[in-house]
Amino acid sequence: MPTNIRESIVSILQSCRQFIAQGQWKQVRMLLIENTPILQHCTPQIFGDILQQIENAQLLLLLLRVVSLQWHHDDLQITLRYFYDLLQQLQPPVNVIVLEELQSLALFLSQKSIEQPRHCPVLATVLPFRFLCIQTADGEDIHPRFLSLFFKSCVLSKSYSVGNRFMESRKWSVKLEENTVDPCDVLLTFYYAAIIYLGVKDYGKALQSLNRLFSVPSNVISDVAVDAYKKYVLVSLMVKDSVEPLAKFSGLFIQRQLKNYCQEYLALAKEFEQRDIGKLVQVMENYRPVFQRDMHWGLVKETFKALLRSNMKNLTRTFLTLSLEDVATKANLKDSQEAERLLRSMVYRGEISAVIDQRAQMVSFALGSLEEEEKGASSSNKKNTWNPTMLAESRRCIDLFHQLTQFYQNLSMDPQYMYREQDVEEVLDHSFC
Amino acid sequence: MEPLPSSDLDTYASRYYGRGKIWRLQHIASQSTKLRKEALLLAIAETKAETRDVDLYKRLVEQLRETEGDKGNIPLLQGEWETTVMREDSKEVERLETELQRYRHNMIKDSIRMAYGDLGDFQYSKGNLEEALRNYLKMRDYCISSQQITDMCLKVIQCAIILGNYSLVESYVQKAEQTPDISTDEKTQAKLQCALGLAHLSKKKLKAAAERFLQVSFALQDSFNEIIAPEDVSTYGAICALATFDRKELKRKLLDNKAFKEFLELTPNIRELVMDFYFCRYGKFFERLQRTEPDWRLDLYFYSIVDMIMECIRDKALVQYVTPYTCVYLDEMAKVFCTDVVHLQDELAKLITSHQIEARIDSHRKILYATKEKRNSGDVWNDTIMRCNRFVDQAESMLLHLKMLKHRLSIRVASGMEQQQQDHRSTAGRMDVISLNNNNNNRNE
Repeated sequence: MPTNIRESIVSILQSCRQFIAQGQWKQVRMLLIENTPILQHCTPQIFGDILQQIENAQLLLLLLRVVSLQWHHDDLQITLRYFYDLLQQLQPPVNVIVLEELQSLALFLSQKSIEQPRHCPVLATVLPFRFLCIQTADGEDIHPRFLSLFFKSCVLSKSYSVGNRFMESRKWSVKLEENTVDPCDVLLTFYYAAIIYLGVKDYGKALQSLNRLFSVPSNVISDVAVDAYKKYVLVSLMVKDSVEPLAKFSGLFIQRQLKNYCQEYLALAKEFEQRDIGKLVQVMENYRPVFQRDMHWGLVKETFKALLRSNMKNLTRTFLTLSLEDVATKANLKDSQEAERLLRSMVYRGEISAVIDQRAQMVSFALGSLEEEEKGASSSNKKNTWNPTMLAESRRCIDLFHQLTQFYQNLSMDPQYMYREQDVEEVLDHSFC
Repeated sequence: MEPLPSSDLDTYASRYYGRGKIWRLQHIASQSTKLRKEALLLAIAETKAETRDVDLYKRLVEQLRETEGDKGNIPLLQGEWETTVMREDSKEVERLETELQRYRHNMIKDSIRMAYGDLGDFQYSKGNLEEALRNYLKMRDYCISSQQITDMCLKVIQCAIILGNYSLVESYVQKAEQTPDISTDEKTQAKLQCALGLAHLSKKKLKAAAERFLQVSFALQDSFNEIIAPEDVSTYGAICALATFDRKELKRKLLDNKAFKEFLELTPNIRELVMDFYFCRYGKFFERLQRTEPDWRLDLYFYSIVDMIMECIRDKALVQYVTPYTCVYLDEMAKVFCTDVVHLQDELAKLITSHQIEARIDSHRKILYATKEKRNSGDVWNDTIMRCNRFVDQAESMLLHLKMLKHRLSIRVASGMEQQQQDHRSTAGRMDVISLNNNNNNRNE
């Protein structure tokens, strides 16, 4: 029986190959759907045998999409292995139909790994999804569905470094020029990217991702946006010492609504901006159940530490020498010993340049931080430090300029833009201008 | 601590008349328990003499009764005056309204204008300020000459100031300033500058208020004493200038201002205060300031901004003091500024943090060292890169937003049909967030 099924499936696939030769991928999909009653008898073993016989990775991925729906939870690991193996054989360019089905397949695998961690832990999906992003990339553009699933798998399996390395090692952007793009995937891409950056404690990049998240056009409030805004408030305080307003194009309505859901966080931000440690601690304790329920208690504690450090840096800019007791009073610390501990840790990290005289219980501050002093050491050192950074930033500016120019050119040539009338819906919504 | 004025209340009150005087006296009564009785008595007398406002009279008497309790003499509610006034008022109102109707019927523009003006004045006198303002505003359509327009604007402005409607004040000052013959009428110009100055004071725009008051011509004299006396112009202008002008501006716009000198002559205390500050006689300056402060706390327009002004002036004095030095002994400075070293250190720390002083404090030796900000090339690169990053981030976000709009991608509420299709396809969209919340137990702990 299995032999018959195998042979039937192989013959179906042979027919598909004829369609593929003519470029008729839609027909391929139709054929597979029509033959579902036969295909649903395909076991993982049979699929494994077929894998040896047929060489077309795209076709096999389509087949895998159809047959894997019927397989048992126990076969999830095998499904993932087949998926990974086929991705490795995938040759660009990937057909649009195949891409569509890959989205569904990837979503299915992701869902199953979350529902059935015993059979297939989320960790097992990290590398296949990473490969999926790389293999289906169109230059720098990657489909947001694949990105969001990959980042999600990194987050759920706590493989933050994998996600971080992926983002740091290449220029990437979300591909929007497809019919099947779901805006929620774009939102989730930046949401999970922000969480990955938070996981590796790169708060600057996390803030960048959160800003990008709020650039996604939206006229409703989602759970994701609310959670992201809470993170945004905390990270903004850590990085910029204040909550920066969202960009105008995020929509005033959205911004107002978001604030209604995050009152506790805004109360925390208000006390942070007053730079009063005592009141900040009070707010933290008052709203502790809320922060813990939101799983943000760790970030809140980091925000508190950020304020301590910021207050300390202000002291270094204001005083040349100060007694440890005064440091403790001005920075709202418990006692001079805690002040000494904090100063020591900041000096070790190179955030400030200070010398502690334990006998006299005094601390002397130098101008700037150790980092800045090292950077300003010599002119040749300066050149070595700044040249690559400047080069990288210049490149980024030039790329952006090209993107904007391209966008402007496309817009100018768009027929709807050129011949727009009052009763014709405009392509672009300029309400944020 | 209750503010104690430096001068006699009678002398102070004699500068003003009418509703403005009553209003100021009411304010003093509310701020000072010691002066309450005297202020209320003066207010009651003024109400009877200058207005027809029986309700206000009753309120003032009641307040006086509450203050005095069982002790002291309280003027008996003069029933005769009340009855007479009310009887006369009802006749007067009828007469004015009949006149107005007649003029409107006859379409005599000038008479209609005057009738509205008379009705407005009557309502003003009765204390119906909203009604008075309405009638003054109706005059607008019947004004022909620039003088008529200016008179109408001044009535509206006066009423609006008493009502506290400063946006109307600004709007009508602008209107009056646009009339053709205003440039020849110094008195009116002075009144308009005062009104605008008070509007800026209400919004705590001290510099703008100072600019306005310093431009007031001495032709004002006592023509606007219902609202503001020349002594007030001197005080408001000089003090706001002290709080907000730098040394050059202080010299050019205040000390060298010949026209304003005449106002300063009316308030020798304020004049000396300005001179002490300009010539860095800080000890005398702060002594004089402490003596004058109680008067400001009793002033109707100044009391709410006294603390802000004192802080500004003190900060300016501190900045001015340390400017010429490379290092300053804090104990000597504390004596000059009538404070102790600890408080002085805190004040200086605040100024250093807000970049008003470029210095650092050696807390051990109690010395302040001035630092010249050295902008080395590293700082410049740092700043450039930071700004560049910010620009690029914003531009990239905007580009993403535009691209998504171009492809008609936005997150919106799904219609019923779309929701069904979405549910049928997968529930992974919501599964994402739910799973995240359930599985991220130890993420940030």
